[in-house]
Amino acid sequence: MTKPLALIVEDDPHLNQIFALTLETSFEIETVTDGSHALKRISEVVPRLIVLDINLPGASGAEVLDAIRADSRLNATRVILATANPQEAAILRDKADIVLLKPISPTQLRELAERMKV
Amino acid sequence: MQTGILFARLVALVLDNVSLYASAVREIAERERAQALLQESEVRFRQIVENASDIIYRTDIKGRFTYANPAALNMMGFKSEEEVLGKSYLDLTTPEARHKLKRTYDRQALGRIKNTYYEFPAVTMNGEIIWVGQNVQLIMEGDRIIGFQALARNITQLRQAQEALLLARDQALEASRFKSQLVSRVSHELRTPLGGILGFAELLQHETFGPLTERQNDAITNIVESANYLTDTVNDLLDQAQVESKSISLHNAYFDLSDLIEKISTNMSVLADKKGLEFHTEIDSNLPAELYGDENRLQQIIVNLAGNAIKFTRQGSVRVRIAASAPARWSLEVRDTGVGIPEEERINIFEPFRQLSNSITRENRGSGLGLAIVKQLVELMGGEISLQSEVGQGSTFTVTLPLIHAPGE
Repeated sequence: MTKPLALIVEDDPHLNQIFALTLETSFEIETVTDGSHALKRISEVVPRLIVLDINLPGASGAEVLDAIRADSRLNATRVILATANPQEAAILRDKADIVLLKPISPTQLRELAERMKV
Repeated sequence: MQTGILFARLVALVLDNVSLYASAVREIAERERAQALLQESEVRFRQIVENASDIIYRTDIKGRFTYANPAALNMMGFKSEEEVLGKSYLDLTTPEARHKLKRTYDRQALGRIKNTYYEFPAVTMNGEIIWVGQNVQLIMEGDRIIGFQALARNITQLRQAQEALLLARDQALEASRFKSQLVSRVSHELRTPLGGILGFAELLQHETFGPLTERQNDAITNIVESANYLTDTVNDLLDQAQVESKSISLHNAYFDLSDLIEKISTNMSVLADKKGLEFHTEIDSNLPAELYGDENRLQQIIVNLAGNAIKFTRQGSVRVRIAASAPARWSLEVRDTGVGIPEEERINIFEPFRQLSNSITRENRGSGLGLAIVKQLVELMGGEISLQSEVGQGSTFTVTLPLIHAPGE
């Protein structure tokens, strides 16, 4: 059985790598480091899970999130928002499935992602 | 008979003249008395005006001085009244203030406004600028305005003090804003590298990169602990900055009280177990199952108080009790069997960066902001926090909060 797809959208290379390593046992991983690439990829594939940073070059995480929510193909896609800004976190809480404030514990991320896999 | 009538008439005439004369004498005397009274009153008023320390002057309708008291001459540096008579009040102000000053009194005359108060800079004969605050009344003759009279005061010092105060206030506000922004910015900038440290350390800990020796595992556990501690400090600093800049807001909603307590209990029990402490929670059955409030902030309050209690208790127990209290209120009590807080330290315990002296060790270190944030959050929620403690016996923190309902209910 093939693993479901997780798209990681994070411009910090270290965090991008950490998220990928954390989720690779349960998910097929694809990573992008800017908002415009994220917008392109979500129009082509249907990830089960998207881990989305907010401050991104190209297009912001909020724009990407809006695009995900506006696309009916992605109705089943779950979004974990990863932000370093608590105020942004509060604003976007309703649009995302889960909002995590950085620093994000891989243990916690793995547990949450595991629950979203099905 | 005729002689009799004549005599009678003569008597009448004389009597008339006498009464006329008497009334004339009376009139003259009265006039003289009035004159004297007037003079006396004139002297009295002149004395008041001439000796007044306030500035008193009059101008004609064009604004040319017709009178200036000694205080006015003295303040403006005139040697005699003659020097100022005929000059316009507009010649005695700065060029920048002239237009507004003229407009103010044109408007008063046009609107026939009885009394105005205005502050403006005046230029003295020595070229010194002084601030003048003046009450100006219209001088009327029947329906016609014939001039202005002013009662004024040198308010330069007052003005300078006010300006210094405003400047100091602006600077303080600016500094406070800057501090909040700085803390917010710094905490934001710290979170990403912290994510790198915590992330890689945890991945190592889970042997994602291969098996670890015991010593390597210990080292990594320490890195994770330090990263978590740093994260808590960043969170506390940011909360404190937000509370101080009043930019924190509550997100109220209905929440399940027992769910919240269970969530907290799971985390706290782990900490208590590590130190060999008992951890108990209790919810009063008289409370509604669902409460209205900011669940995350309430969790923060309870975790802070219970976390502190565990930190400062070496043996015994920590209890969290939620109960209905006075009408329409509920209380949250955290009781420990820890070191206790001496009376002299209790006053400052809710101040930022105050911790018990001599009590900070590696195991119970903290940012020193926890209780300050708790108190401010409790107050933001319309509640109070109090503390009972006995050294060596333990402490009890009690938070009392209003039982609130969703708006519109």
